[in-house]
Amino acid sequence: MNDEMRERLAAYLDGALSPEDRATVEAQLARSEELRRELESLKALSATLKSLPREKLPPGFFARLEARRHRALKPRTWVFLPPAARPLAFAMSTAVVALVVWDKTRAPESIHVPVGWQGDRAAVVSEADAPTAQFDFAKQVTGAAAGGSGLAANQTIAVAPAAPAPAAARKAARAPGAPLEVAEPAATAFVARSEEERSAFNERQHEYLEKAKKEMGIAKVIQRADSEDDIALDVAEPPAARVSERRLGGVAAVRGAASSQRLGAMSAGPSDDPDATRARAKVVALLLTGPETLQAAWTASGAAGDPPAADFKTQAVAMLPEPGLIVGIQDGKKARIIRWRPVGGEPVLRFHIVPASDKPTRFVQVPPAP
Amino acid sequence: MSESEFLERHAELVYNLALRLTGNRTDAEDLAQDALIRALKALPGFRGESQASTWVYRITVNAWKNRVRSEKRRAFWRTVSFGFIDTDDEDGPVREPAADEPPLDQGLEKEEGSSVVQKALLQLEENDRAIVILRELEEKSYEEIGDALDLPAGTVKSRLFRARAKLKTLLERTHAS
Repeated sequence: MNDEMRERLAAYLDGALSPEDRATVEAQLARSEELRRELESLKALSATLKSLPREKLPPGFFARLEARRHRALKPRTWVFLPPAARPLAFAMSTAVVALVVWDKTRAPESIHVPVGWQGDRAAVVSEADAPTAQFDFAKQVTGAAAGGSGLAANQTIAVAPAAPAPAAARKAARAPGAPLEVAEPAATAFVARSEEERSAFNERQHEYLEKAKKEMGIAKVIQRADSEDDIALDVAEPPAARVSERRLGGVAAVRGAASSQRLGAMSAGPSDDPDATRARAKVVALLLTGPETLQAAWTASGAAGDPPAADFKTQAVAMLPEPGLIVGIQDGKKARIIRWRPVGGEPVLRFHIVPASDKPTRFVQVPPAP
Repeated sequence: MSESEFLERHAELVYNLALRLTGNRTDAEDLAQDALIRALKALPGFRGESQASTWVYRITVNAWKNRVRSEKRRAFWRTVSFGFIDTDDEDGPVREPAADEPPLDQGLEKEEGSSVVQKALLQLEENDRAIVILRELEEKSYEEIGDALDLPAGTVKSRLFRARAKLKTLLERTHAS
């Protein structure tokens, strides 16, 4: 059943169809169990919404309404000066206006600046006559006797030209056929001009995020064969892609398929090699040590509401592969072991707050209680 | 229609619409009074082009949307002005803090179901929330809802469909947990 049919069914329930369309939908309902179920679902939702109780006006509502209305209608209060003060107020306000006008329109003062020396005193000229530059680098410097200022009389000071601006980085020549490097466009904030635009934008963002979540692989934690200190990674359902590891908040996540070389050894049949046997230890759980990975794992598991609030300085969140209970935590020399038992039930029972640990964590599933 | 007749017929309707839009009794009374004052002011000019209830619903929803926008602006400036806030409410008198009236979801311990539904409603966007309330609770037609919200009936139909789908998902998730 597509959305158009669902929408038509909703309009049928709302009594918004023409008589002809209504007859058509009724004929379709008679033929289709799925349509009838969908209609029942819509009726149930409608009944749920209609269950919201209707409330009486709170006591004193109308009295408060009248008081508020009276305040809203009250005219503004103007302040009137006594007659004797009015001329003074007028004069002061006029003076202020005149002062402002005078300040804005008066000619600027003539400013005098010192320019060079004339004999034993500075020559002063008005700003209008002052040269553009106070110092004429073209002329020789005359002044104090040699040894006083470090300059010989009539010695010319060579003014080094300004250091050239750093040369712009030369772009490496692009090899023929090589892709162009295009800078990413600057992110611009989206400004909605209407509710419809905002809704459409939010929906597009949601679809993009859902698609991105689907493209990520599922990570599980297993033991690596060579050392019980290490935690190796694998994917549950490997799509055909190259494996890559990236640490996210303390959890190593695998994107894409596992490499055939490593997983080949992991999924090999029975072997006499105890290391290989240990390598095939059961994939159990994740230890989430950051809020972002916790949120991502919570959302991906389909649990409702908010994830448990953990203080990640001293705690971590264990995510079990299925709903279960933690039955024991053992702190070994090289690793910490968390034992858990499946109990079935809500997806939220996959998440448990545990103490943080510097040691690698191994999860061991124990059989269900008899 | 006299003012007293108008209030007698529509005050409770407006209050309940405001209650479902805001999810809070204090805000609902504030919004309802604001809307009714505006309606009373405009009442002499009401010529009956639409039903009075549709007309007053439009005033209420517009008043509510204005408040939402004002609150968003205030929230923005609150983060940048570090306490130098102009507390004058440009839409009305300064609001009393909601000290003695609990929000709906706290005051309805006996009615767990309705608080869950109200919470789900509050997660809808403004227009969608108003559309669902006017359709499901006030049983207005698509045309009347469009008239109240200044939207075409076709848009009301499609937005109602999306809003119902979202509510269904929210309520199923809450029920599952």
